[in-house]
Amino acid sequence: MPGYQHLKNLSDKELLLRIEKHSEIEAIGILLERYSHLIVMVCLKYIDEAGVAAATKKILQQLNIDLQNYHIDNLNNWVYRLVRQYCQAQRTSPNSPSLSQSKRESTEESRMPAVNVSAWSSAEKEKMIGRLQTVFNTLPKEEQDCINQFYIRGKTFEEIALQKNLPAEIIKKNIREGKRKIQAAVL
Amino acid sequence: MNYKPTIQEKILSIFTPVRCLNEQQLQQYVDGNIPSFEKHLLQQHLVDCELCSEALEIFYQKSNREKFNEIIPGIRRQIHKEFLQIVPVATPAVKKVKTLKKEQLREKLLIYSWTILLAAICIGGLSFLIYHYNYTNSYGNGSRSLPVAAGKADSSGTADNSAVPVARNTNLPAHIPAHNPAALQENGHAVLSQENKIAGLVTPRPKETPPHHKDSIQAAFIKPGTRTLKKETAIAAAATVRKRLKEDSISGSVSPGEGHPAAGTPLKNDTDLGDGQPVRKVPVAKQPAPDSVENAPPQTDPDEILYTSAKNYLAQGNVESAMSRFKFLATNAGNKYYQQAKFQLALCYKAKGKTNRARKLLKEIVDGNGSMKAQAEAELSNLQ
Repeated sequence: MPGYQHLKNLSDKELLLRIEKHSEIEAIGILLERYSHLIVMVCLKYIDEAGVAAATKKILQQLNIDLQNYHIDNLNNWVYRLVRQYCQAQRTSPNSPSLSQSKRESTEESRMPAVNVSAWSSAEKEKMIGRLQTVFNTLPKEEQDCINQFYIRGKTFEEIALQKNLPAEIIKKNIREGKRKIQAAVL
Repeated sequence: MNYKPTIQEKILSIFTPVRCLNEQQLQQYVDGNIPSFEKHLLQQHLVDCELCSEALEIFYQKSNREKFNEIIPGIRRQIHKEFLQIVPVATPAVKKVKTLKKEQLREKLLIYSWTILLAAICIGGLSFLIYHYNYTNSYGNGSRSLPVAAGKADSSGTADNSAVPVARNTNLPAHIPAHNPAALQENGHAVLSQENKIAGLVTPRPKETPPHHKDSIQAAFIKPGTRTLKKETAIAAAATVRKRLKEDSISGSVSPGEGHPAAGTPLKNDTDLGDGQPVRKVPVAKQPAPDSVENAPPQTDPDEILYTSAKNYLAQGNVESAMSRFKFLATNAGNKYYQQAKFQLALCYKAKGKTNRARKLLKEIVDGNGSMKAQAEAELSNLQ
């Protein structure tokens, strides 16, 4: 298929734009292919092995519909919500799990919009950096330290966890929380 | 020159979007087979992405990875088929196996086809050899049927005339007495026995080559135009024939009478033959006495022997054998019995109902202005 490799290299945002404007089937296919393995893995956590394939197919079918009908900014979160919703529905009513689109929409609205830092000018960048430092100083010490170690020093979760003698999950959680506060305050 | 980002740029990396982990990155992350800067980049994504975080958590378990590997190919195939219209391409390992299987199958087919071809060649060769062997064998044994035919002829005076159908034909030369079939048969028997005597003189050859009894006849028939009979053998054969005839005449089994066409004996009348030439160089006696056989010069000429035997076959009713001898004599224009043989052959064709051939031969005789021209003209007028 001509252009398959070209489409494969595009970002989620660019593919979503193509779907929104031209309803490109190939762009939908690229996105479904891009998230299919993640859907399968998450389904393995919540559903029996025998039903994973069928569940994945149904989720992909629903995702296909959502991609054509909704404006989606953070596709990974949308997919995650879709998978969780299906898995929960599967548990409650295995025969006919329903997927309420309204739930995914509400979750999507609560997410931070994507930020394109490269599009900022140098003045905007300096302004942003000032605001970041102000908000950074208001964070709890643990979160400050983790963010500092992770983003400034460039250490991995494991290295920071080893340094602080904490589980990597805790480090990850601190960094996540701190980052969300910064984004909420700044954006 | 290595680029080192400033602290401010590093702070801004908080907002850097990172794509979800693909399957390869998941595998490398779990195995630890990934550079640290790339791992850090993936971890920046993992901070925010619950989908990738949970997937990674599941992927750490080996059993889940195996299940995943079983399920995902079918899913991908379906996506390709429905959305991307991509024909599934076999993985290198599968390709290799398929190629190997194809090659093995091709080799097997090649071996089978060569085996079948070889078997066919062997069978064909064997069949040809068997056929060739049977052919040479049957041809070599063909002449030995004469005694059987002779034996069938009744030696008694009341022989069945049906055994000699040709003799009843009025168109036959007069020297063949139709009214004395017994004599004919006896004579034929005697002649044939003489032939057998001749055959007995010659050492039986191996089956590959035709025997030499009536040696000159058989060998000459095989190779028309060549004379393979040795002179000495012919002389000896003729002597034996004369001796036997003498014995037969003494015993009374053979009544010398009109139309006594014994091989090696002079015929009583040249004209009775229908030919204008004497059969032998010796003057012919009207009433051949028993001792005339003894006194008669031996027949040394193989053509003469051939002609005489052909006439005898004709007298017995064995038209085919007679015709074969007449044909041989008629092939060589320099042959002294050429005209007579041709004439006799024409008569044989006529007797068999092949009037066209008979007519053709008679016309050739007439056109040739030979010794048998008059007789040929007479026969031709009879045919028309």
